[in-house]
Amino acid sequence: MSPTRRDFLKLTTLGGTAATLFGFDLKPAYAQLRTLKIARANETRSTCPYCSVSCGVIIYTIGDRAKNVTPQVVHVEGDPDHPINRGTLCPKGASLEQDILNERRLLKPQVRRPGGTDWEDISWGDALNEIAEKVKKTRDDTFIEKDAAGHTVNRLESIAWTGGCTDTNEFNYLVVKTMRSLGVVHLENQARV
Amino acid sequence: MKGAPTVSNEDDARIRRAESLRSRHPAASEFLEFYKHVVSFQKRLRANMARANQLKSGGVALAGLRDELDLTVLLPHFRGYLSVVESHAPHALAESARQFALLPSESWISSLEAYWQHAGIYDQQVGAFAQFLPRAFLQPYAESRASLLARAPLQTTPRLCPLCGSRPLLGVLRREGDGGRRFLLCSFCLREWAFRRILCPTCGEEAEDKLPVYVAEDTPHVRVEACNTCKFYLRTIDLTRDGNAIPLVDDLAAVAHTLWANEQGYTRLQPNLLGT
Repeated sequence: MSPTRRDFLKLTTLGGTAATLFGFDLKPAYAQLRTLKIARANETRSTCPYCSVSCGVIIYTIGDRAKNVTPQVVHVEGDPDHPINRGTLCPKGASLEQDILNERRLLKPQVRRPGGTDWEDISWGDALNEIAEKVKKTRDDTFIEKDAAGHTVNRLESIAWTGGCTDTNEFNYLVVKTMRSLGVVHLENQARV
Repeated sequence: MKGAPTVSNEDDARIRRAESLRSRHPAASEFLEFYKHVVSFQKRLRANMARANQLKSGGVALAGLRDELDLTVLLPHFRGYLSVVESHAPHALAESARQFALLPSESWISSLEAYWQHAGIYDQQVGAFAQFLPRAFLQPYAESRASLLARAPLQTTPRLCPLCGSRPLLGVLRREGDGGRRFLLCSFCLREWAFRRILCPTCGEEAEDKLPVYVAEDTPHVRVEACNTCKFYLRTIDLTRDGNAIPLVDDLAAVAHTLWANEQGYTRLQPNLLGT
């Protein structure tokens, strides 16, 4: 007797993996499964810090999110969904991974003395003290309290500050507060992102 | 109205890719060998459909992909298709094709029509065999219908196919600028549409730490894009890592990835033709 369509559907409505039901041999795949080296990556949207165009980037980090493991950045690429750059990046942005991971990155302060040719290591304490002394001396020597017409101006024209493009908003906020309190008027940064 | 394009070049490319992957992925060898026979049949069916379309004068503008299933073109090839499956599929699938061939043609018609209406939408409730047989047979027809439909620019990123409403089978990353733009590949009509990165196509989760991407060292272009909120995953083929990959075929070679994802408690959003 020929099976009916209902019989056929009853026969075939079974649970489980379809490939196993079809009769495919999954043993080789299970064997391969034991040799798979699978890494977990996370994709995080971010903004390129280099200039004021604010291109969107996607940063890949690997790590299994365990508490004692620091995620490692492995790749940075343009964000194709970002309305500004549509996935494109300039050469600086395309090398952003090297801004995060770079063996040549300075990890301690260095100083080059007037007339010197080499950089020498200096402790954070000594560096901050020297900078503070020079800032104070310069300010004490050149501070302008009143202009030629006798108006109170309280400004310091002998010190200037230029902010870098990778400075954060928080850092720039502190810079502005500090410089304004000294009377510095020649002050610029790239806080447009 | 333009006729359905002959895409046998794509079929040939799929067959070549399956052959190439078969030697590199012994674990998927049986899957890829059978798939080659399915694609060879689909190629012949496509050629016959193109001839039939040429014979028809004029044509009717399509309103929707599922509006009409032209069985006068398809049905004469169904027995041949069942015999291909019976000859080359693993035992259980071959047996189901043999049993299906014994059914009266009215049953074939009702199965094909039911699947045509529900493919990619409600087909998870249908049994594996009842799903495979019409799916592989109707896929070339669905592809050709999709090629006839006008595509309006998308204003949103729909999680279901904008042409036929089916679930996506795969994600595809294609180079855009210095990154990869994600497209979803429809499980039924094989159309691609753009879909945002870092967004779960199942539940809409956007939190970056809940959307891990798993990649195996030896197949960096095959990604398991999981969601820890809904526990579903989307397999994505990254063409920026391997430009020779053909998503539909490379997906079939990643059987071990499916087993691994299942072990981790993830469920695939839409299994492929061969059920992995």
